[in-house]
Amino acid sequence: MKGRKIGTAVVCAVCAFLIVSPFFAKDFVLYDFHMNVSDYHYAKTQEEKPLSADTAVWFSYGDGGKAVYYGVNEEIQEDRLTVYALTQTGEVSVTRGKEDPIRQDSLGHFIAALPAAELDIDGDGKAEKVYDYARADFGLNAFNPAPQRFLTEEIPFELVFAERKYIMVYYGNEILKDAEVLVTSYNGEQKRCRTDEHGWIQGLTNRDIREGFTAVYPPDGENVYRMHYALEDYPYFSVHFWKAHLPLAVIFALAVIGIMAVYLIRNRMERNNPAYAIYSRERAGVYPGTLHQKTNSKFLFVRWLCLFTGMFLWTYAGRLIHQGQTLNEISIPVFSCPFNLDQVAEVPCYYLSHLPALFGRFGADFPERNMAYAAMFIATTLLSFIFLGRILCGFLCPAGLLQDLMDKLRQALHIRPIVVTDRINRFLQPVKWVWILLFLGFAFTGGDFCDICPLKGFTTAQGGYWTNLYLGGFFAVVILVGSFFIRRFWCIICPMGYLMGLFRRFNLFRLKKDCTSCTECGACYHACPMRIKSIYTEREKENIQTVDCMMCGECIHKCPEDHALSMTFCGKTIYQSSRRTFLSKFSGKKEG
Amino acid sequence: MAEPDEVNGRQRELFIRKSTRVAASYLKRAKALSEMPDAAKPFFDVLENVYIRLTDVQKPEDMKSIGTLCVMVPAELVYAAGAMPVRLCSGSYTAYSVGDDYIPRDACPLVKAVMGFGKMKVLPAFDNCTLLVAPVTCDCKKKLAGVVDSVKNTVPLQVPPLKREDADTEVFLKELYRLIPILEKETGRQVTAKSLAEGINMVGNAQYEMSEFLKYRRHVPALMSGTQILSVMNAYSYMPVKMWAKQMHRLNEEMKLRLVQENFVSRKNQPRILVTGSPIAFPNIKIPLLIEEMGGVFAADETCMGERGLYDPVSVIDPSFDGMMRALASRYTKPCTCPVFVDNSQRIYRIKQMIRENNIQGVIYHVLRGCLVYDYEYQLMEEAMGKMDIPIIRVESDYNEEDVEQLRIRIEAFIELIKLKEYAAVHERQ
Ligand code: SF4
Ligand code: SF4
Ligand code: SF4
Ligand code: SF4
Repeated sequence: MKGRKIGTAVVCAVCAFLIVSPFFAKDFVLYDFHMNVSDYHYAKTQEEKPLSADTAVWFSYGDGGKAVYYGVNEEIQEDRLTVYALTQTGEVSVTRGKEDPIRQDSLGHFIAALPAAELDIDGDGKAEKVYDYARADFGLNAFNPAPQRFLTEEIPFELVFAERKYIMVYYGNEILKDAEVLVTSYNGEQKRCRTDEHGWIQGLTNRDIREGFTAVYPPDGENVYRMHYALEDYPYFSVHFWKAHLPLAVIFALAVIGIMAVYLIRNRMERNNPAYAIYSRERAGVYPGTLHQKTNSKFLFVRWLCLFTGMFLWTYAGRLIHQGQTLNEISIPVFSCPFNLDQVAEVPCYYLSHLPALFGRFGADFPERNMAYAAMFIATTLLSFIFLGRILCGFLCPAGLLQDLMDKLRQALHIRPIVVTDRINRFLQPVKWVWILLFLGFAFTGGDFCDICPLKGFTTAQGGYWTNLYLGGFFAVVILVGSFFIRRFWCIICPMGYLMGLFRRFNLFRLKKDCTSCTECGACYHACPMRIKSIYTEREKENIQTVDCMMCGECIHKCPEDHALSMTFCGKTIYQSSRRTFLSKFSGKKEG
Repeated sequence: MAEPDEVNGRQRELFIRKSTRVAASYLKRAKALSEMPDAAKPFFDVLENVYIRLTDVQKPEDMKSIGTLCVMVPAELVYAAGAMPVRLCSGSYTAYSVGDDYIPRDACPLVKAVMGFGKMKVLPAFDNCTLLVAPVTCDCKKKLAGVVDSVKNTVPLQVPPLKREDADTEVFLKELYRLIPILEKETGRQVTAKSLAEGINMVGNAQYEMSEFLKYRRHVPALMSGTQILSVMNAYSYMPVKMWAKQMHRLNEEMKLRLVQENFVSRKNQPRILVTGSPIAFPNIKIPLLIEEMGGVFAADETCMGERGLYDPVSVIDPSFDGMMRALASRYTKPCTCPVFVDNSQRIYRIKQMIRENNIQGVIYHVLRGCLVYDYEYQLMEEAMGKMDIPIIRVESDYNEEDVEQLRIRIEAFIELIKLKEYAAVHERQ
């Protein structure tokens, strides 16, 4: 009796902790993943000069994210080097030669400068004054909104990290607008780029920003300014990588605690329920493993395959394929956080949840030459919404896969699910509406949906990116616990999915029902992860695809009646229920 | 005066003589309808054993029999407890007349027959059941569950009258959970996740064989007499499911052969008739017999002692113990077209489906005297059939042979009507 009371108290305490802690998530020690710059060491590089460095001086990184290296051309004496560094107090520290510029209060922004050299760069037979600089940005939170500028007299030309895909240019303490700079890419190729009215260099690739590039600016015929830019990239399995994964690990750890809590609470509640009393602990969760259950379904196999491919495409693919160059202007609606720069294509959730930014960016802010980009972005979003719709949920969305995996995990652990009855489902509908309102409207109130977005922590971390989680971390825990017990728990209330389902009338993939073949056995309803009841109760209409349907095909798989349920693509049936297929698992002929 | 439940020797003998005679004569007539497939013989043997030779059902020695009074008792669960379910809904005329003394006059004959067997104690298949599971469905069965408890230990199983809300099916789920310890006490074995899975697999196998068989049944012209098929389905009540499935497999092979050899038992233009309504339990198979003797094809039946009992498979979503129990609760209520449910429009859809699949030309709506729930639905059915232009008649019958002549005339006229209608249709086309 006493033990039970203590147990209950512990469970309550854990739950309370779970609920309260995310409110402080930002200051929660585990979420503080800025690298401490003073832990880095500073040395001369042992490696070759990178292809991207057009300058006589450059920075690079190494030692699994714990070292910053400088390099100078061989013919140049090291003691001619001057290194400027930003510090927390706002002052710029200056060191010379080999001297270590890293101080306790360094911020991780260095600029190394060499005295002007006389070189004939443009090949007109007349030597110009060439100023060489190298800039390093490291140990930083790449999403820091305030540009880290030096703006000192000694460095009239400066490259500043502006936004995750943009670098801006300052010249003479002013933003350099509408000017041409010569860029040497990460692979040594040279290209002419222009800066826009924000001073942002247009035409830089992700890989340039990640692996380094040089920008050259000749303001007049006599002076040439060159700066090599090196943002610290996070290689796999570096300290940064593990730190980026930390929030995810914390989320998972909290989810485990949450799952255990739910499990215990359920057992406790059911102890008083006479019907389940004897089974709640002993048998109810037992999976016999001998039930003939498997019917080979090519369709479901393809679905899993697509989901894993989707996970790959929306996490690492950008880094691994296509030379780190993602299809930025093409947007495919799935719920995968675009704070991960390695997604193979853009995801519209940021702009949908920040509609003012959408209008701002594409309307007024964006210079004309970006209208093509904007048009492409909006067009592909709309086309996907209209013609594909929620089949993307069933087949591509990494968040969907995550939930499906949680469901599989539950089965593997022999824990039975929480069955969403129509009563619970009716309760979840208003929750969905709240999310939709927040998703579309939060930005208009000055809020930022990303701060409460439960999906910010997953694909970003998997891609190796750091994010601030705020309240989203809490919701992430909730949806993990939820989807453990209820398959696709988040999808039931997902605002993005709802928007995708709005245009189902025009979808190329459709779910159809042949009402004359249905026996109202309800198997489809029980199988449906979205708990759509009308697929089982409908007796008139052929078109049963609701806004919630994500074309996962589970209902077709579990339906025992010939062609009662089917999926069509452009009017052609691609998958349909069959009594024979359904029952063949019991035929006793083949097993496995 | 003798105690009502003590039936003396003479009466008992008379009872046995009468009931075996009726059963034997019906079996003979069924066999004589058309050439019976060899593989159907074991099924007839089972019926003979139970009703004529009066032996117990064939089953493994250590297996107990649990009597069930409705198809809504999950056979899977009974098998999981290590027992064999025996469906005791009977069509015995003699037992009916005995039961008549214990049950009010207006109650349905099936209920009376069950009570009659309970009192007479002559049918080992009945008497060896150690427990009856009686779903509380129609009023007659509800009261039967209470009354028959005096002769045999009976567990009533509450069936929700509605089933659209999940809370309704949960009621049945809880009943099934409640049934488990009762079954376990009876058999001394535990219902484990494994045994439950095994039960589902076994019954699933039978369902697989049956759904294969139904494909042959749909063939025009017919490959086997419908009355014989009904007897095969009835035999399921008295056979362990594994054995039934095995024989069914053989029957399927023979059907395949017949199909290849074009060995048909009907002509192409014989009217195909569907029978729906109150249960048609052996030996009360006079209506199917009459249909086929009058030149119709008994092509399909939508009755609980026929196809319905095995038609719907269990669709397990989550393969845990609880998941299987839920699948059972759902399978035994949701697709069930029994008219005890308040809203049973799905029965009409089911019949439409069967009409389409089996090329049905006419529907005979069977109502046992006193079976209110089926009678209620006749109106709706008539309307629906009218819209589809499918002739339908309502025939009422009782558990005796007095109404046979009248039934014969009506069924004959009905078959002629279909023939005429087809004839007219053909002419119109020409
Ligand atoms: S935090 Fe959420 S809403 Fe914001 S960009 Fe990432 S996934 Fe989209
Ligand atoms: S509903 Fe689910 S699958 Fe669809 S976008 Fe939302 S999270 Fe992804
Ligand atoms: S699973 Fe098939 S037969 Fe059963 S209710 Fe759904 S559509 Fe109808
Ligand atoms: S209706 Fe069918 S396809 Fe749509 S979500 Fe439900 S199970 Fe998946």
